[in-house]
Amino acid sequence: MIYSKLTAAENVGIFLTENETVNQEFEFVRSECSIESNDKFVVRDRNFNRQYAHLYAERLMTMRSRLSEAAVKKWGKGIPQRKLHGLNSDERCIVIGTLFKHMELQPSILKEVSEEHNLMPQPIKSRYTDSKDKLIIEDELQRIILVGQLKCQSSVTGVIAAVLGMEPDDQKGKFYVEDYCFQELPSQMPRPMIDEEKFILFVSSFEFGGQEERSFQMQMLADLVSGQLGDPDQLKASSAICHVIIAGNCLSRSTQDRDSLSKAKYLSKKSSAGSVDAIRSLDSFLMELVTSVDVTVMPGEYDPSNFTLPQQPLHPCMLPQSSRYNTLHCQTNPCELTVEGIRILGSSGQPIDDILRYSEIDSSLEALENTLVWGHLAPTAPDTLGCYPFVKDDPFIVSECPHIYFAGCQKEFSRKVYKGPSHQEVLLLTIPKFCQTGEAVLVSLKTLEAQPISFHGHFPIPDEQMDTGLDK
Amino acid sequence: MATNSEDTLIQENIEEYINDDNKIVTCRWLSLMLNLNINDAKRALNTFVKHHRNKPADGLFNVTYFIAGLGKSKDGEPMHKCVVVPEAHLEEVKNSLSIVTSCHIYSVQRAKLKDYTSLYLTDYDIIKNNLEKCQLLSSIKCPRATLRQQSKPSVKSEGSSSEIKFEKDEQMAVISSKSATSSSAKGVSKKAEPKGSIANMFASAGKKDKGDEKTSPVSAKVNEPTEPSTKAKVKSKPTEKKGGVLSLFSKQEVKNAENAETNKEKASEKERSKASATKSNTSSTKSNPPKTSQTKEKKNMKKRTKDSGDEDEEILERKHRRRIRTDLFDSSDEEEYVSDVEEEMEMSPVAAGDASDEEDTMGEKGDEEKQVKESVVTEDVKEKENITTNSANAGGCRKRKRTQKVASKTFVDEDGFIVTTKVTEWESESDDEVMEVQEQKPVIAPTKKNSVAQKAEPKGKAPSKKAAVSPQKGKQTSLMAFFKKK
Repeated sequence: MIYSKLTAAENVGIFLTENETVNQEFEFVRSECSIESNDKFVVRDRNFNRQYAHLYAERLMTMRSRLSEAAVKKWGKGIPQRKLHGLNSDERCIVIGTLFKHMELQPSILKEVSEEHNLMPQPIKSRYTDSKDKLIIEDELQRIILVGQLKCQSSVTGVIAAVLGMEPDDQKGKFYVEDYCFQELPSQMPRPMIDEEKFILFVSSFEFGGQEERSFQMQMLADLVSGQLGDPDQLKASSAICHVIIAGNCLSRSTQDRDSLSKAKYLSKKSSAGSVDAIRSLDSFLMELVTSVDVTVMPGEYDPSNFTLPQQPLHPCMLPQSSRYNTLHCQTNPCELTVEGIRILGSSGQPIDDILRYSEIDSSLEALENTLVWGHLAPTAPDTLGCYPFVKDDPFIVSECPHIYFAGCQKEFSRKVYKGPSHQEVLLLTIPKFCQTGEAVLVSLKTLEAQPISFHGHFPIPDEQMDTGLDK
Repeated sequence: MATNSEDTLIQENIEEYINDDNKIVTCRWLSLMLNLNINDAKRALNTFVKHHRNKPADGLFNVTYFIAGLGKSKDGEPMHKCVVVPEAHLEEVKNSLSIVTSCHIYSVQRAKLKDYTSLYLTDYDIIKNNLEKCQLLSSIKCPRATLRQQSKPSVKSEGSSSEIKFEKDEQMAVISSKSATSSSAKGVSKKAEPKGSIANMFASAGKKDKGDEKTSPVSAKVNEPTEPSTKAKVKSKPTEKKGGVLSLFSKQEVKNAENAETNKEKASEKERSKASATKSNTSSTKSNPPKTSQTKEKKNMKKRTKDSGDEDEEILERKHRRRIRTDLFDSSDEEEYVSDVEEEMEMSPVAAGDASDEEDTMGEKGDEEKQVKESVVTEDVKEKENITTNSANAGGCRKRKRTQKVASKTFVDEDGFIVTTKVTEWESESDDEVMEVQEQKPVIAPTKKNSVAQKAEPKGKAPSKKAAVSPQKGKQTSLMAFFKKK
């Protein structure tokens, strides 16, 4: 198979030979796959009157028992687990609580409006970390500053952790961390054996309607997947792509014109929103795909969905043509689905971007891995990431171990196989922005190998070293 | 596989596209243009290039290739690459790939391409126009991909049901534009859409009212058949309800003397069951309109019942049908109406002739509509309707007189310009007062009304017309004379 093994393809250039020699029809059938989607991220009751305290409380309550188990496993039963109010000085103990990162640079609306600060504008930064940041652990009642092993730089607010250490008698109010642990990765369903090669294509950030939109490459992608381009072997390999996952940002940021909200109605009456044309293009683009393959569309940061996580599926009425097909699956962000028994979990990248902003983690792959280790898909929600005020359930807690865990709309493609303590193997993927790289990612369901696939229209020189400006 | 004659035909076609039309011919464009399988298109392009390269005169075209294969990414990781490349760089790209998995012609053109924008644009239009055909020509078939059933997944929401309605209206508009003799399709559909949807809302209400009408006691004392008011009312309803009304009236033969209350109930029940069976109308849209228009309807029903008492069944039916007909022309597509009228210019103002004409077009239209809408009308009712229309033609109409006049109409066209045109219109006699009122005002008044509130018309007109009905009979004749001279 072309996409997974490096074997030479036969029949290359067959269409460059004369008709008389080749009288063969090449017809392939799209390989089928079973798709189950988990709707745990679908928000049913829309109640926005609640406080976020419930969400933190729920998160701590749900994860406390798991952390307690993990702590016992790691440090043994001998060490007492204390709540902060029951803390004894100089006693080595375990504290389970929510991490809170105190950050001076964190943008705050209160700071902006407070009188003392209103002359000092907030610095605009891409990253809000500072050397003076402090890490604090909170349980239901109290908080205490953490010092020691647990690094502030690589932690973020909202993570539930168990810390081992003590509060020294001479330094009250500070907890010296000796060691720490997070929830254990839940056990994984065994991966089903799949005989034939099947692929899932991950792609994100088409950004219709934006400056960077790469129409030609998108057309190539659609043509390749739908079996219009390539020699017979390539076509055969393409027919093995059984699912396409579009992980967010189908529309560009420039389609969101927030000015229209502040403008007078009579001024904007005639003008239609910028997203209208873009979503129409998206619809016809999707048409080319859905007539040929199953497509899952997740909303992203700039898509016409709600802002807070979990983002709800794009409404089918926005995609009047493509939504007529049963092969179009509009999903939530984050989303969890099972394709051929392979459990796939991922988001359109907002939680990862947010972690990168509020910590000193550099690569999105590392951030992605961390969310898996922490056992929470979006720990910074609701602190710095918009989130629905859940009350009795935090759907972002990792309660089932996926086989593929991805984040869309990232800078570049990267992958890693994360090995869990009880032999779980999770393929971590960051999906590059198609509008910037022209790349998508093919994952074999058989072997869980990932390979990027790129689309170029090289005029005039096809080379990686070339100026990428020509590629646009 | 294409036979030889087909092959040569294709080759000739390609040559024409490239040499004569100076087009960019991509394999996708060719496949959609000539309905070829994509692989045959690739081959055909290759054959073309091979044959014409040898001739020096024809050899002046450029070829781009599609190449795919295994290459290296920036970090040296293996990456599958798909490249569209001009011929000059073909070997270069091939060499950069460790394994080549595909290599075929992507496009042939005379011009030297600077970038691929023109390639994209070539494909863009034809693909967008043939979205559903694309898959048939592809070499990968996907039996899974089927259309969802028309009952949308989210029937619960009101939005979806109205969406369906809207679609139907559009279809209806298209059909009507086809059957129209000389009106521009665009104008018709544009006008028909919004009104259709509004009309749909009231449709069920209208049916219900008919039920009321026929059963109410025959004691009303009204002088005239009160065309204007019924017109105003009917305006907000599509022809769809005709069948329903007819069927109701046909039943009336049998049970003329039945109690009003029970009949009313029955009728509404019937309507409900029919509607629920055929349409995905939500209950809310059904139940709301009746309330709002109830008071208006009550008056109408009294007036109407006088007719039904005096005249025999058939006449009533005919009359009723005719009213709706003219209304429909008025409300949904004025241009069409005008064109019809112009054809019939020479005919007598008494509407026998044009009624028959209209009747015919109406019959067609009505039928088509019914098909599209899966409307309430059952098969036998439809037949009966046709019969009655015929009889109406033969008998002609008694009371209606129509006059022709020129009125200036102002409306906002598609581009947003305000256009004022002089329109010749046939007006029924009893409408004259209304028109007269409008005529006496400065011209600006009606134009304003027209341009601003096109959508609101059906509702907005009703009260004003009603008010205008009240003047006495004697006045009308004199007005008639006035307009005839003109």
